[in-house]
Amino acid sequence: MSDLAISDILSQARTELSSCQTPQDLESLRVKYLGKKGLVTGILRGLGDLAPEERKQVGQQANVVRQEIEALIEEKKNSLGGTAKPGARLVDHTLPGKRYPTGKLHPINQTFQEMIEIFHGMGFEVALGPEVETDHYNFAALNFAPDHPARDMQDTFYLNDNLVMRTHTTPVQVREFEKRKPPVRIIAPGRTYRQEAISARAYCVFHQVDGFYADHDVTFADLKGVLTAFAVTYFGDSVKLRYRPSFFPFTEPSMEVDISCFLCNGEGCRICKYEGWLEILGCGMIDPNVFKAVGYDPEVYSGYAFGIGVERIAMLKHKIDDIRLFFNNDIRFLNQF
Amino acid sequence: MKLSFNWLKELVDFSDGVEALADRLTSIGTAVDGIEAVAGNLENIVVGKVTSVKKHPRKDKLSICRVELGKDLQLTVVCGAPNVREGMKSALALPGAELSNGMKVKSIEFEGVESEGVLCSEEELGISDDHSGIMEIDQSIKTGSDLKSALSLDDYSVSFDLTPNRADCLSAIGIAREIAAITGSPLKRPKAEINESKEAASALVKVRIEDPDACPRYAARIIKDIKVGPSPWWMQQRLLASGVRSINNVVDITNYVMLEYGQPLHAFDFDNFSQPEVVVRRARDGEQFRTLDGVDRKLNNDVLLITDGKKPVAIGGIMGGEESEVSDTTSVVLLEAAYFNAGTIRRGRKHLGLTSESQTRFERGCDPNIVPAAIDRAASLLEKYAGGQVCSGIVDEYPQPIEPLRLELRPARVNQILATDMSAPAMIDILNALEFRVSPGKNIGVDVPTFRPDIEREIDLIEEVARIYGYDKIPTVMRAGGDLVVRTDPQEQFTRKLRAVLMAQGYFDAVTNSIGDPKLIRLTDPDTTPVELLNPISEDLKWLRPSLAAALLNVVRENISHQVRTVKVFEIGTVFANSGGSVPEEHQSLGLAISGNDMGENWAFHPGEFSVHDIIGSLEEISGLLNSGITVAPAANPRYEQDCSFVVKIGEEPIGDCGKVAANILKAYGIKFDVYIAELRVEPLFQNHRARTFYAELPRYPGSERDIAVIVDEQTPAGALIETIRGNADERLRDVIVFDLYRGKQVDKGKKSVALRLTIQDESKTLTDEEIDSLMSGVVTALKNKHGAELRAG
Repeated sequence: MSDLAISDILSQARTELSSCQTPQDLESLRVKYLGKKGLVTGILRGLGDLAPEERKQVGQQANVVRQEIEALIEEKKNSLGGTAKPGARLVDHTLPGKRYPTGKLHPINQTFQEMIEIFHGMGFEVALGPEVETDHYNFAALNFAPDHPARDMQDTFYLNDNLVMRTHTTPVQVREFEKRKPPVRIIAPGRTYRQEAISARAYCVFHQVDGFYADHDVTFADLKGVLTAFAVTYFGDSVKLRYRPSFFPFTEPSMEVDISCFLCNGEGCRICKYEGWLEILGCGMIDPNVFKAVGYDPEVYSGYAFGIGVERIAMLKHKIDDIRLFFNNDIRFLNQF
Repeated sequence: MKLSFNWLKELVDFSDGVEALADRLTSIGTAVDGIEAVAGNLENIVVGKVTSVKKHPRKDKLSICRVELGKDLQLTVVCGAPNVREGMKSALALPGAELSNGMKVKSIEFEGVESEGVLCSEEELGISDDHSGIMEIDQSIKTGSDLKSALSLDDYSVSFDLTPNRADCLSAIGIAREIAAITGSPLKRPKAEINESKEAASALVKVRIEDPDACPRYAARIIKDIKVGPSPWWMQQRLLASGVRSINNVVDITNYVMLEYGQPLHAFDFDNFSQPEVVVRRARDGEQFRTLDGVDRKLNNDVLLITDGKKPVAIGGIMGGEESEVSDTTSVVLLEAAYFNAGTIRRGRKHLGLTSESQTRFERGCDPNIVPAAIDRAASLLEKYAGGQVCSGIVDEYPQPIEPLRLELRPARVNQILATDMSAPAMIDILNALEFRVSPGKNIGVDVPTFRPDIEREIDLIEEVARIYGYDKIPTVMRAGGDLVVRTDPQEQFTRKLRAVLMAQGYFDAVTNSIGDPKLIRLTDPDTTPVELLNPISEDLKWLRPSLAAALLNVVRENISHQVRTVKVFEIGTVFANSGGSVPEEHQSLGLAISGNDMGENWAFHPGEFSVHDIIGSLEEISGLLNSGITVAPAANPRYEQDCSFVVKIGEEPIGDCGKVAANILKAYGIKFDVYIAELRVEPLFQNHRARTFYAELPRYPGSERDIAVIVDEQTPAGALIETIRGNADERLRDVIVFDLYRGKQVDKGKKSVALRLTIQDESKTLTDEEIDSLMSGVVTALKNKHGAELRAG
């Protein structure tokens, strides 16, 4: 017969239980208290020696303690996890995982998708157009003078006198204006061309997202609004915009937009050539001559248009310093995005 | 265009430093893209007069000089320059000065002689790259004065990146006018004071314009007694800061006034004229002329000539002739200031392939009405700095004077377009500052000065108001508007899904050039009628791609050459076909290309080489997006090996091809590994895409699987077995798959064992073994009858 009171047995068992680390420890504990010669078993066995009224009380108490200890052991056993079979092999978790290789979306197409999503959220639909364009859609309807330098053979690929590889996706603007009536709010993502030798800074094909909106009372302030929203969404909340007057045949007034360098916060770094600003796009209010060419009355409607170079902003965002990397499709490059 | 910063300061008052000015100009559209100090740091460098030169006793090449800095101040300087001589003035760097090569000047001993400073070359001062000797400084410059201020070297060269419409800004006055508009300070035009001689120019030369459309104005002055020599230092310095090399006083003056007024000028050696006449006419086709750069030019009717009535003396507006060029012996100069039509100059430039400062200005558009002011300014400078006697009067042919354009500006329209709240007087102030003549009223009447040919409409005036007002001050408004139903483009959405399916299978998305090499395109598309560029950048980038195959093989080759052994790429892009119509046909194509190991390199897999089954598997995955499945059937195609060449179909419609790339093509690309390709038109995929899925009830009763292995002839396709099974079971047969294929010891030669798993399931009950066995025995009998298939034991 143990000297310990029944309640002490329980608290002692709790203490010992908390230091059990393995299933073996737990088993020894179980034997010590609940085994054939265990402490609790001993009390239950000694019941016959007690007076009948005491027997009942002690018996009940001992049974409660037994159940309690059994429950505690079970709980602890679950918390220790499954039992390893003796001699089982160690799982080498440091082996590289079993992977089913997946591909990646090209950074140009990632940029396209991101831009389409941003502008879709601002109410722009997507429209596409042909890559071989007529002089009319690429130049004439966009108010390019017949002798504009962009029409030179040194700048534009020609198929014949009348057909060019489009130099921008702005012709989609004319095509959509012809098909629809205001309000028209569209972005035209796509491939564009320029007659230029391939180098780290230039490639003969490139990609552009052109956006345009024509409606009653569209203002220069709306243009600034949509571009600010784009820049902040794409480059981050702290980005600031700078507007510089510029010249494009199909917009008037025209401007180029710079953003404060998001890498150095405008302090000056290699990417922004220590100027603190990065040029990201050209834009302006749609020229009245463009509206006239599609039969919109410029006194009734106004609108804005902007064009963003996809390679340009992808290069800025990912610090890519050679445009040819996009077109080489080296999987070691593609796999980084 | 480059301009001297100090020059601008002379023309208009402003307090900004060069950087601040550059920012302000950029913000109104006159973009500055570079600022460069004209000279290095010239602290502690003074003008010194060499008073004596002696040979160094021990070093032959060195001289010991005494250099005077002031009345009672002489220093000893050791100098190695060949041109050092008594009496000359030069630049002396004193201890503490820093030369442009970074050398710090201090007193130093040369073989026993202490040198107290350094006489410097222009290169050492950072003024030019001349290091032939020490700098020669004009005797008129005061001895001892600070070099930097004495020679106006505290200047900056400011580069402008101007848009092509702003011809008016190709001059110091043009830029100063912009500065005046933003600062409110007046523009200070230079004065032209001439003491004309009695002799009238009109008595010495006649001017006749044969084509007044091409040359609306031609003005000439005659200046006699010219002494050709160097121009004054300040002018040389200003030209240098403006990116123009000094030649001689006469040429420098014409360049100087061109930079100042934007009016190109030309000085002829008038003695070279065979008769006292200027005739402006078009060149004849095939006519020859030697320009002053010494090149014989072959002319045509697009080129405008300045002649003396007998022989040409210049190409109008583009370049002067060699023969009539001003030389050291010139004494009578005919000074030309003309206005040429921009289109004429452009056509001439295109024909000749010849550009010049003058041509650039005329082609962008000069001011016909600045001609007299510019020619007078040049004449006054020739009088002052080339000793010239200016004959009286300008011989000015201007048959049809060009008048300012009259426009109206509605103040309400300005505010409507810009979303501003500007007052009419504020708009008038801006226009006045830009030298537009304005008459107020409900609508503002505006006379557009002839130096602004880019302003043709009210909207152009609105831009002028906006840019001077400041784009930054225009509000930024974010508002909804237009149609709130913003549709997604179904084709764009489908393309996204297609890309997602392929990337999930391990394909990388590629973006390749759509202009390709005819030699390579001919290999993969031998029958193509090419769409050819008229002006390709090179012979190997000449054709618009008729398919993606050539570009994808190139991607495979490039990756393999960079030791990327497993290549799995796709592209969705435009391809072009010469359909015989006026415009080439364009369509979207999907190309897949694979080479290498099917699972990459991983300890857990046992990778095998890709086979055509990988490509077919990919097509089956794409089928998952469609209403009807993609099938392949053998079909010859020069792209592929004969025994592994397939047409890809949806139903009966061929939509593309796939197979193992032919060995001769791989050889031409230098690829040593097998490559498999598929190329499909995207349009039929899109037409068949499943836009909406209707849910099918999930089975409520368990299905059963039964495996059979049959031995058949090697020639029997697995597809035929599956077809027979399907044809001989009822709708309770849910699925048939091939789960093993065996050839080897346990099967006779010429035979193969195909193991098939059938899934059988009933919608309304759990099937009994008897029911399943009965279905299976029908299938086995059919296989036996149709294909001679034997059930494989076990």
